Amino acid sequence: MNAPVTAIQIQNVTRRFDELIAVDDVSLQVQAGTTLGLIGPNGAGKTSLLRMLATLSIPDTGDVLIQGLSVIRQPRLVRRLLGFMPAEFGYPRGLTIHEYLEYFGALYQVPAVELRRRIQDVKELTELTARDNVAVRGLSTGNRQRLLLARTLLHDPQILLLDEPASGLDPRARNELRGIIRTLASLGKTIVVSSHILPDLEEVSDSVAIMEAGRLVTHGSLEQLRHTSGETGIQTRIRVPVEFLEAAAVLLRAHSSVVSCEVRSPEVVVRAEEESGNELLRILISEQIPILEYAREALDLEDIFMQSTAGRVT
Amino acid sequence: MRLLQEVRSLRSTPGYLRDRGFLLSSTPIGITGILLNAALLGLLMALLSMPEELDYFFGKTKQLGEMLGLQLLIGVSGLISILTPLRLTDVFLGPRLAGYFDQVVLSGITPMRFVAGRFLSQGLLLSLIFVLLIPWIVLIVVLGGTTWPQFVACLLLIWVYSFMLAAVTLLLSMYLNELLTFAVVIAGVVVMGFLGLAPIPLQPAVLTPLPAIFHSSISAILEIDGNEARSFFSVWVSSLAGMGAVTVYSLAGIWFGPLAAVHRETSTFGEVVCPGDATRKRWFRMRFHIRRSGEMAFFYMNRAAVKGPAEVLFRWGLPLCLLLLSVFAAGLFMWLDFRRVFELSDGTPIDLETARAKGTRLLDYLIGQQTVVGLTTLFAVLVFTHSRQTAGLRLPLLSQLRLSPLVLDSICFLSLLAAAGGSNWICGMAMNDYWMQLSGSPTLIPAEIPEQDAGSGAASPSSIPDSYVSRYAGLRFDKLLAVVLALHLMSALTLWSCLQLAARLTWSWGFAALLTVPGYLFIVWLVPTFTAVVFDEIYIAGFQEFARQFGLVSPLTGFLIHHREMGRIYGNENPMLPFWILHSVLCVGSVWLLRRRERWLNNYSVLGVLHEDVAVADVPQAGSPEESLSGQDLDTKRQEVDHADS
Repeated sequence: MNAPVTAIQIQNVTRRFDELIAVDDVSLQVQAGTTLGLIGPNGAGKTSLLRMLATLSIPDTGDVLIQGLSVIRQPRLVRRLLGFMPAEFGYPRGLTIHEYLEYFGALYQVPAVELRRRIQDVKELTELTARDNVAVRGLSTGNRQRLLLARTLLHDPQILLLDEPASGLDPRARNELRGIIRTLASLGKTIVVSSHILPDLEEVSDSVAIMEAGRLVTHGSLEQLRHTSGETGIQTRIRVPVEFLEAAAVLLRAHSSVVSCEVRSPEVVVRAEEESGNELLRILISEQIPILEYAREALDLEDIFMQSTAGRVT
Repeated sequence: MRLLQEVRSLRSTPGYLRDRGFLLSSTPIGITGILLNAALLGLLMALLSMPEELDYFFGKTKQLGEMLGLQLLIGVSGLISILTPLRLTDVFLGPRLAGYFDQVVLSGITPMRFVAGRFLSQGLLLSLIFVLLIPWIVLIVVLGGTTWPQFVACLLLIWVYSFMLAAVTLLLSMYLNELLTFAVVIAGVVVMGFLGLAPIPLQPAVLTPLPAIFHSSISAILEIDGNEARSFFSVWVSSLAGMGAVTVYSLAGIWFGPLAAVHRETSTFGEVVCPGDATRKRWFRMRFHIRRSGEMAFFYMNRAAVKGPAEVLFRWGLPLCLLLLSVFAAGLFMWLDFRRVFELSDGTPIDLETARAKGTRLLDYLIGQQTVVGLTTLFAVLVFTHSRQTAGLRLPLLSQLRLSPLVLDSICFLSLLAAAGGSNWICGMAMNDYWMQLSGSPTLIPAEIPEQDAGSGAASPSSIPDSYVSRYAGLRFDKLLAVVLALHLMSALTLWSCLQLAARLTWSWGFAALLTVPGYLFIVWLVPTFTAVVFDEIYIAGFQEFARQFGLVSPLTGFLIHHREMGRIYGNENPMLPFWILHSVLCVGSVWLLRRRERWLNNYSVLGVLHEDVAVADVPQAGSPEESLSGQDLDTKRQEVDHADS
């Protein structure tokens, strides 16, 4: 069995803007053919990091290797490997969708015959085929994002850097975007996608990196993060009448197996050691606290995020 | 063959594709047609409405067909002069303002290829115009009177002119915003146009088709004045060569790109605004503040490798050669013409009386030559001054020798200064000797000198030991050295201010240069002289002598004393000690500041050059001290330098 190949290697990267430290000593690796979700609150340094990967910003210290090539010393070679989808959508004036794609295909110097085929492919992938002659200026946000993604894929890059691709999209469009990302992942692309919308990332990411205030808080596969966040990666939600919430929380916190207990009205969320669920129920029942609902579930990305971060911004 | 393939491949560049799509659509064809016909009809109406002036300017023998041909050529030249910069000024700024310049950069396209398509599409514009001209050309054929070989040759010249304008516009648009680019190009076109129409035998303005288009008219005027006119072919060839050279130079300039490194200050692509952007943008729309040089440096990472010293030769060698040529040509031209005036056709000097009568002209030659040399030297201050965007760059001159722009600037400026000083000295002394030989007496003074001296109370001519030339043209070694020192100080201050000022602004280079030279002239030249003159009139006990001494620090005072203009204050003495002291101190100080500033910037931009192909030796190598610096170390180091600097 072949060892996994590292597509992106971020080595102790720091980026400052005057006094502000946007990215602070971040080290990270992304294996080829996997999807990394980059999560963080506003000002966490996600875009700064992505722009360094895209050779649009130079690290103050450290380096980034894309398939072994340095973004500092070999930016020209690195750019050939990358497809960068920025958060903002800029476009030449007066073009239709087809002309827009032709323009960028020519920029990427895709041969004319090959370009026609690729334009067709990316339009099909992003479901823009029917809108060939629509002016770019009049496109909705969703279609602009599709077009931006189509443009990013035109030169068939091995590595995709997607900065907030789901920003401003409605649920249906987000769902479609997730589908496109999954398709791209199945084609063997290495993808780094940043987003605020955690459920979207949960669905498409093989691994997740959480950033806060420029620092990498945690990194790993979702399973690894669940285990890091709680012993079992399982949490228990117990719904009780509102007047019993505090009492229930006090009782549960007193139990030795409980790792954490939060009141999220109208329920108490408990993370405890394995196999302690029945014991907790027994304690509550013995103290005559009425239980309206009881559920055990795996931690989701939002839980992990909330647990890992403290709401700091740079 | 390969070149042809390369050119063909440029037809698939985005710029060419877009321009082709645009120019071959109905709207631009219609607008161009209307503009062209309106321009030609307007010219025709104007010409027909003033037949008298027409006859004076074009000669009475012109026929209507010939005039129509002439105005067609003028109309097309004018239209192209306006349309070309209008079309091409936003080649870099357009994508940036529309927000997709980063995508252009990331596509990996080279800057040359990016603009080459737009350059080539100039041919489409011309084709469009020429097609629209067909009815007019048919009319000219029907009317007759046109010399067809000349007409076709002029059309070809307009074609080359159009490509020259396109190349120059594209080159300028790398450095300036669209408004400034347009203004500079149009100003250049107007100036060259006026110069091109000037009826002078040796036409220097070869960067316009007008001397060829108006050849017959200019020749007629020259012949009336008794001058020999150049043939059409000679004018045509020199115009073609001149415009071709500028086109090639501009394209090479685009290929090499602006001299800017990506360093810590500019290492983020796409920062659009500075504080206060909205106000300035709303009020002035000039967008000087848009920081582009850093972005262009990012773009030029896509450029293919430049090997060897070609870049140094292009950036420094070529301008130095041109400036030296200007200096030597001025001297040579003056010397040859001087001999022509003061010698008989067989080479023997003219008699003394005739020489006396021509005496004043001698001074004109010297003033002319020294003015050219002075302007060239001032221009060199600007040419050999690079901004702090170049900090950290090292350019290969020889295999092991890499020099910073600051060092190259200094070497070139000093070389030019030495050459200019030498040229001044040799030329003046040669003329001086020639004059001595001619007059046979070292004390000969032309007739008008005593009159000048009389006003300033100078000694009588017979008591003046130097010759006319050495006395009135300032050909004394110490004076020449003073000028050299003053110019060198000006250059050092300009370089320093370019490295010091306006770190975040694209216009730092021009801004700093514009601030420094007038600042120096005002503070060191004008203020002391003014003080000496004013306090000579207003008596304040104890201050008058100080003002008198203070005035002597100014080269202007020295110049005025030399020309007997400040005899009341200084008499005939011309002590230069205060000047030497101040300028020596300032010169040493500015060089010290310059070195210090460069060291600070080099520390500040530890990243050095970030291009993998160019000056890769500057990128910290693995294990080098620079690479092992952590962020904290770097801060400490920078603070140390900051502290030392303060």
